[in-house]
Amino acid sequence: MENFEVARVDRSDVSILRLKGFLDAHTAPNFEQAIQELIEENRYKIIVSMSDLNYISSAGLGVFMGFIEEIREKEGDIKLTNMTDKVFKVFDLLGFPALYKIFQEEAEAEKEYSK
Amino acid sequence: MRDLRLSSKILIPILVLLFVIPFAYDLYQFFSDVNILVVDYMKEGLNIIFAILYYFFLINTFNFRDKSIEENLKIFVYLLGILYLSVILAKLFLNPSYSVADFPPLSETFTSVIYSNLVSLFAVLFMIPILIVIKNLIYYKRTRRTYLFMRILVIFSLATVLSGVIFPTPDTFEFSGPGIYNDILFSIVLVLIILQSFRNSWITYLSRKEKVTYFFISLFIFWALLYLNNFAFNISIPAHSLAAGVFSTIAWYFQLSYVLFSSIYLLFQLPTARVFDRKMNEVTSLLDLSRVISTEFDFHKLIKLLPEMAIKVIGAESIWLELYKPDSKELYIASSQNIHENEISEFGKSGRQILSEKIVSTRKPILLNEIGKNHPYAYLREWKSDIGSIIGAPLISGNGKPLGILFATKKYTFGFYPDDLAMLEAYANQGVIALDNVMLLKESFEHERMEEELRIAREVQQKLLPHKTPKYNGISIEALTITAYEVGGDYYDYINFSDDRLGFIIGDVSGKGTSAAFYMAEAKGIVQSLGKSFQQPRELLIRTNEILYETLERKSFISMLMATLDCKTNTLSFARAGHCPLLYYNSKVNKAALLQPDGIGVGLEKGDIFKKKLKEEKVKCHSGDIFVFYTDGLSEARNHDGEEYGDERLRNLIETNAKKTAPELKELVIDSILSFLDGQSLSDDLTLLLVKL
Repeated sequence: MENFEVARVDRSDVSILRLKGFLDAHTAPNFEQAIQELIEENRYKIIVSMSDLNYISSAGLGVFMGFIEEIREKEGDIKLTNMTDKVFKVFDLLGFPALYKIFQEEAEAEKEYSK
Repeated sequence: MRDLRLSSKILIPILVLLFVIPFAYDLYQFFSDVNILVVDYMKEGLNIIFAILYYFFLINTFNFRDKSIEENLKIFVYLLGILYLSVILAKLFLNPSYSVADFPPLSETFTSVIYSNLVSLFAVLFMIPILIVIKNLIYYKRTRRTYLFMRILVIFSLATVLSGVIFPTPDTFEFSGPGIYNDILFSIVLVLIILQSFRNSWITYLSRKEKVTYFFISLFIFWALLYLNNFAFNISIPAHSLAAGVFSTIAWYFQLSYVLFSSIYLLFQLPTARVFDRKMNEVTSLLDLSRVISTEFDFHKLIKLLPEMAIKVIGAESIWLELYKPDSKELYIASSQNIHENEISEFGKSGRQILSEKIVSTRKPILLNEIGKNHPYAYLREWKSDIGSIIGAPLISGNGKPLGILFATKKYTFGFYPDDLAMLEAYANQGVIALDNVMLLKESFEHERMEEELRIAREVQQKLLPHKTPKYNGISIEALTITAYEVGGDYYDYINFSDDRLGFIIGDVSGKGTSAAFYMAEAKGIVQSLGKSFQQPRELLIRTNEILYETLERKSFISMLMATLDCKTNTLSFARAGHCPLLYYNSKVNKAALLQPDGIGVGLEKGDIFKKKLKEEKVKCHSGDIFVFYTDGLSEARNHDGEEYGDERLRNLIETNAKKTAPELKELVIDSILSFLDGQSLSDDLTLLLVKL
């Protein structure tokens, strides 16, 4: 089984989840849990940073979809940053850029939240 | 003789008669001073027959053999008590006196005669059942020799009784005169009695509490017995019957000796009683545990049972079981006894961790009998002041993986002995066997369930795919599906719009397993029915999204690519809803390209953005053109190095082999993928639809 890790960093009301490794059907529950925890803490301003994410499958993409409605209802968002070209290709193929804001750097997304 | 069975109805009158006749003769003799030796012998004979018949009456009437040790001992004490009481009462009322100048002694008064007869009767009535009790105790652990010795003892006792009748002398052990035969026989009997008195194995298996209690009781019985002979039997019985006198003396010696030896045995076993008790407890408790374990497959019940059973035997204040979380290095408190989970948690993760890590890394149990201030584990004191000693044993699985730790504590320092640690370890080991079993079983159930689910999903998927390719003039179609071990949600289909309009759909449901297979079935149904009204790919996809968005789980979506080939106008229009690009080979320019118009996956958004983003493209096609529809199972197929097959490799392959027929191309693609994978299995389904004009 491939490795997958989620590291969380809180900056005031924004939470950054840094993903690492392979996000597929097996590891998606870990990621799901991480987002679930944020929601339980009422932290809806989420940045998912993916510089170390090697692979994402459809099940991994599904995790974003599972929570986005609820998060946006609470006036939060999930913003995506630091994608490698390969990962971006997967997001792009599915049309995610139309649904999520994608940034090069975490700082840009943070700035967007503070607006 | 053992089979001598006379009903008590006959026996009781006979016994009464056997008592009354000698009694009457005694009275007659007292008043008349008659002394006929033959009649005396007959009287003794009747007395002996009385005793023998009474013995058989007892063993036939009462089931002595099935009685427990405790019951046997109770009978002993009661009988002795009643005997004393009876003799005291008889003495009080009859006030006997004897002349002891001669042997046998003579009754001086009429009441003395009655007294002698009564005491002889009491002696036989109570001593015989007491002897049966002793026999039962001796037979607790019976060997062939026990039985033999007992028989020899009985035979010699009878011989002594007879000799005592024929040579009336007091038991002086002078070994001279006519008494020599008595003394020799009596000595042999005494030796045999002492030999039998060593047979005390029933004591070994008593609990400590019983040993203590019985020791004191045995002292009391010994003391009571010691005085019995002088107090009751000594003179009064021989005055009535020599046989009864010898019998009661032998019985008295036997009882005295057996009780004495039992007392000594009990005393000697007292120091080890605790240990013996423990060992017995341990054995039974471990047996219990292994029996429970072999029948209990409920994980939660098992982890509760383990501390529950261990606490009793180890005698700990509190005990708890910590197990590793699945696939994690973190311990959690699985179950506890006499201590609340929260209290253990208070112990602090770090504090427990140091201890746990030591136990797990050394794989050895740990014994902390003193938690001093300068002790490396002094921090334990900060947690709970009422913990003086603590022991812990690791649970190491059969495959060497640590499963957890079993801890036990006591209030006082130096509360645990080294064998407590061994015991805790034994429990931990039993626990490992049980947990291993449960986990194996669970895994195999889980595995079976997964297999079944996969089988169903695969079946559904296979049934949903088209059974045959449509026949259209000038179009050659090849389809390929390779299912991975884990069923994905790949899907392709055709729609026959009309004789010259053919629709192609390829899709991939997110996720895996049964749910993906069922979403695929749903999508197929929706697309097929919408196909009756909508023929333009964009239109069809927009409608499909509207319907599926409502029913799909939020985190599920389907990528789809839909194309309509119009043979009249030679155009292929297609729209891509988040799916892999369409590979198009243009025979006019001998170039293959990946067409990727905008569009987002079906089920991601309810419609507005979907509609806005989705673009339809038209391709003017010619004979020799090739369209390849595929899923990401192909483009994302990985080899050993984690490298992906990729769209570009496919594009190149088609471009360079474009002159080949559709079946040949399909073979080429298969070969290419297989050689790329080089034995590595697919992680996702792979679907390929090849259309050559």
